[in-house]
Amino acid sequence: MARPDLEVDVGGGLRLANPVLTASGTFGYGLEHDGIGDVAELGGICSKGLSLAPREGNPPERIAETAAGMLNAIGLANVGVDAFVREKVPALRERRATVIANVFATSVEDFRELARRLDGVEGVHALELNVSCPNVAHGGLEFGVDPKACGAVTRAVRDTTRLPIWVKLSPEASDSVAVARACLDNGADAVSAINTIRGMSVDARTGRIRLANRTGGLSGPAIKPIALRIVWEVHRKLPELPVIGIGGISTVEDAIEMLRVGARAVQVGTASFVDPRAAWNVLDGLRAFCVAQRTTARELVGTAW
Amino acid sequence: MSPPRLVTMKVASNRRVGDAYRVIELDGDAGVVRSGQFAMLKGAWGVAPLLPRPMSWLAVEPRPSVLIKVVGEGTRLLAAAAPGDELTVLTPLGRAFADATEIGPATRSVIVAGGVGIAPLLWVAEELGGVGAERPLAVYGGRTRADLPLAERMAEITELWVTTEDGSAGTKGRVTEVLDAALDARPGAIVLTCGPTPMMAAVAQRAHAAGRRCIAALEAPMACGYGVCLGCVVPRAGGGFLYVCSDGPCVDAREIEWR
Repeated sequence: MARPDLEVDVGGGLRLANPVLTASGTFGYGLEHDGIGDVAELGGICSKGLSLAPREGNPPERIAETAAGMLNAIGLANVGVDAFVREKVPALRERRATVIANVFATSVEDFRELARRLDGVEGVHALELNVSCPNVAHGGLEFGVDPKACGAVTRAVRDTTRLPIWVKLSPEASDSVAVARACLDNGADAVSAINTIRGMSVDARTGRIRLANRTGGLSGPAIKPIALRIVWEVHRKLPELPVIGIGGISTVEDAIEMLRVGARAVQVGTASFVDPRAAWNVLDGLRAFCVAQRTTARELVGTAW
Repeated sequence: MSPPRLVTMKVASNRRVGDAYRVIELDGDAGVVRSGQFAMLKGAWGVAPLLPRPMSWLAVEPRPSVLIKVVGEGTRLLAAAAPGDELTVLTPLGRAFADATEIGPATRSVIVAGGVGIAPLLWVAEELGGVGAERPLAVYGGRTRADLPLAERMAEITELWVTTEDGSAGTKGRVTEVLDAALDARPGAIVLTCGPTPMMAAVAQRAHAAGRRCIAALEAPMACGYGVCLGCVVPRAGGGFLYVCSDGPCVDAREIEWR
């Protein structure tokens, strides 16, 4: 097949070979797919959310299936940023992956420290700030819904690192554009939207609340319309700010819709649970679409009307 | 372990076993699989239900097959699959019995199964027979006689003791009624178990009290089956969690904090 131009500029000097990435928390550390697919082919991979110290995560049940989606309350189980840098990044470099380190903290100071430890690490190409995790007692959600707090986190990280900074937006902010503007004004290179939406699940017969954490983040096809709306709003009001679209992207059609409402790139998330090759399949489909339509990924961005 | 592959397989046959169970045979290559390993199965039913369902392999020869008990919408759809229907199958997944303990000619075993938990145990019994191990003693429990799918096959390859809670077959009561006697009948035997978690907890406790090793094939809700969703945790003895899909399903029962 012809090789269409899929390269996209996502700000901060970072150009991705194509606009298809994998979403944090749905793709491990990018090393679980050996034998399944070549991670170097993807536009990038967003790591599992990293904290300063390793975290075991929440007790079971951690997940519950819902109509066209699922709830999760994993509780940010992760190996910690130091083990990530020491053990995972070198292996990802060997695989020539484009790595976006997703980081999570409960204070501005800890976000700054995470940025410091990742700054200058060969093989890490950008930071994605998780200011919108709904599943931990003192989560980042309070940062993610408040433009001022979100701006403060972004500023602290901006002052600490030269890495491109993406801020992952919560769909629960009353004004996503205001939060995105605060990120932009404080030095963010891009925003990614959206994180999961808080929900819950109850057994009608027994009354048992299914998740041990009681509530969890809703993901999957069920949330795609919300993601499209938020990406569209942010892109329309802040066209200079690159947006990475996330939320229910399972197929190439979903990805193209997301580009059309203004995303410069997309992240495939929950779909990777259903099919470990979902991201590669979306990429193959996008390549075929661009060849057939004689277009490029860049030309599709913001063409919804 | 070979990496999992997502393959499309056609349903070759779907037969009823007992009142509420189905054995589905598939046409295709399940990969290099051993007893205790599993697959994620999904039909062409779109996004509802969204996720594939984890199923222990019942066998891979002559055809890959699984034992289905209907517990919800996903298993209802799988149970309704007709010959010729296509399923997507991610396989092989997880750690086998043979990854948790030696399965060899010198292996003496007591097998303890609860209901649909028979699937990986029937296969490990066949593996043990295949390597010339002593005929296992199997304890198989269900609520009623209708909850003992494939008991006839188990009786062909093991010394089978049956228990039912209502007394409709075998000894009345749960598997623990006869477990001590079974352990006495097989001195030094390792215990291999699969079934509801409370049953496995009781079996592990008795086995450990008798100074035996116990290997449990665990079950947990999971989204992916291959180590990325991090949904399928069970508490680990001494703190933290084990992941059923990648640390298990087959684990030494001493690694688990049974509750």
